Amino acid sequence: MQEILNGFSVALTAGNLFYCFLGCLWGTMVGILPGIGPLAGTAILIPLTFKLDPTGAIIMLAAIYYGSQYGGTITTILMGVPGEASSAITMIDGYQMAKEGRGGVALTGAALGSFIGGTFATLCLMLLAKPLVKLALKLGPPEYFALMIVGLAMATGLAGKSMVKALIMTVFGGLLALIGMDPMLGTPRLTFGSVHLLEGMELLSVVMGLFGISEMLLSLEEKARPMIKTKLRELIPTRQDVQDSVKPIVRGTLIGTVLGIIPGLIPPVSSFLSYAIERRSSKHPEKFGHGALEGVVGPETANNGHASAAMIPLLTLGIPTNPVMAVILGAFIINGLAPGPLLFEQNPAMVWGIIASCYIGNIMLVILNLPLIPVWVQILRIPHAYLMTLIMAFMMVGSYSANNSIFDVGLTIFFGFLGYIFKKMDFPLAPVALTFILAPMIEKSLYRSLVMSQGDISILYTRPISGSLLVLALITLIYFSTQKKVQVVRSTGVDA
Amino acid sequence: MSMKRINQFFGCILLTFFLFMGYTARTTLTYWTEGSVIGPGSGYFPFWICVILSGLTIYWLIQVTIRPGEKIPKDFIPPRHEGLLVLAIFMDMILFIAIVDYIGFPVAMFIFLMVMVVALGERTLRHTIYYGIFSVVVTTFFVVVFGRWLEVAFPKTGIGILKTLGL
Repeated sequence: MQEILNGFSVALTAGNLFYCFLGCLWGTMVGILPGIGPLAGTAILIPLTFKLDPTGAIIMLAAIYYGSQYGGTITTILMGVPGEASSAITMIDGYQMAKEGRGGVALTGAALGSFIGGTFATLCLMLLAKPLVKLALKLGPPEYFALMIVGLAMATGLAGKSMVKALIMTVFGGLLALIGMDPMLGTPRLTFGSVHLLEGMELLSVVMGLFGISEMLLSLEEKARPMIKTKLRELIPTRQDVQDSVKPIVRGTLIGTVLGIIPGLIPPVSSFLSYAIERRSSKHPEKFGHGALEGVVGPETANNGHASAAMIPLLTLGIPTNPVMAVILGAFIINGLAPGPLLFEQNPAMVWGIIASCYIGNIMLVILNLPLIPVWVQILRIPHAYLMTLIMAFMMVGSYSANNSIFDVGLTIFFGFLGYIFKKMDFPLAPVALTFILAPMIEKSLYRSLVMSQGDISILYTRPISGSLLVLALITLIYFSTQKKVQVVRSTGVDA
Repeated sequence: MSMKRINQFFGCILLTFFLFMGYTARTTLTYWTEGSVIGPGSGYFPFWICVILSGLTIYWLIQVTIRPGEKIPKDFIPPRHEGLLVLAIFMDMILFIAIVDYIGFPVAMFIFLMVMVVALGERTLRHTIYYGIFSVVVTTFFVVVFGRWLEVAFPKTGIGILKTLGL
């Protein structure tokens, strides 16, 4: 209790409140603007955090992530264009409600559900932090290695439409991460004599290219849909609407929080599962697809619960569960910090400050998202030419400022091109980012395991925990490639 | 051309790349270290990753070859206008990195912004004036926020007249 009170004293300082607000504001915008997802949206602001105190920087980046889950609902419901992948399922009933003149109620239900889901997950983060930290301290290199493999297996299993393509992308991310100096032996590898590659490929360049530039280019090929107007007084739900929303909110909160903790799962998985459960448990399943409020509230609650719960394994074990968390892990590293059990001992004020800021951020987001919906809608009226140009310029300058290197800007453009081609060929991109950031940690754990066993690889499967986790990873891959229901979720092309 | 051919062509490119990287890792890097520390050398992980990638790509190539051919999806090739826009934006980005070291960041960024916003927006005199103002404002923002506040060392021009103007 004392820790969380100390956390609030950190989070409530003027500076951290401002960074939290800025993160929520930008996150909502990222969610609203089609063509820029939470991953590129978070990466764009990393250069701005170089000058900030690390606590403020991480508070801001985390707020962008959960803020984007809120913002994505607005365009999804009013335009039928998902601002980000998690909102794709909300579109089915949300857009239908908007066409029937009930868009305001859908937005209110989604915002309140998101608030409850996000707040509950933060409460779990607070309660689970200490036990998980104790557990993390007992894990050795083989167990860490196996845990990260489970995460990658989950991420691979649910990415894209084809398991082989997802596997190729997962391993490809690892290959990219190996380029540069060998961290153990200090010798260059796969650099082909380039001094620019000695430090490895810049995280910002890879992420902004693959997820930012490629998405922007693809969005050029899509036609804009007209927006459905909503008045502020239409936002107030009826008693029946409230009654219809209670159970989906409770179920969505539990689904999002539980799935958010599991490594490798991204928020769209929670929202898709929540939609399926709501449809199955409804007395009127025929309403789904024709404007069912439950089909909006459940998935939106679940994806926000998921986004906040994803902080649990990152802060306690130092393991990112999805690509955005991996980018936030990158921001920790850039700021000279390593999330995980030791951070709780060495920098408790910072960790608890970040946790407390999640509560504050969720309150800010409800305020930003409900009465200010008409203001957010105005952003979409800004001509596309200005918005796209501005975001592209931000990505170019952002990738330059990481190392003051034009080579990194070239790398961003190259990965933008690569991402565009991969998307056209239907290869999922999310696993590349996750493996790219996890690979050095996986390599380090594997190297230490092999040194411990003097080169005997059996150390990975003969120890009970690591062995069980590796079996779990294998079962996960087999299960995901054979189950038809999972294939349905994957066939929607869910990516980061 | 069918989607099968495109997939086969793309798979072959990927396979060639992975085989090349694997060969480079095996022939130019140390596979296993002996001596004070026994363990994997710098080429161990890259080599095995390339082996896995090559195996997966071959498996995918077999999959796409034995499956019945599909038609090319509607959105695979963009319409002419959109395709040209994508190309123009790529060229604009490449132009930026090609000229920024010579003419300095402010002018290169202004050109980058101007070209992109004109390519994407309406091409009338009134709009072009707005785009010019927009490009100046955004460039100034980057110079002030990134250049001054965040102390990012942007490339400076080597051209005399631009130097005199403080660009």
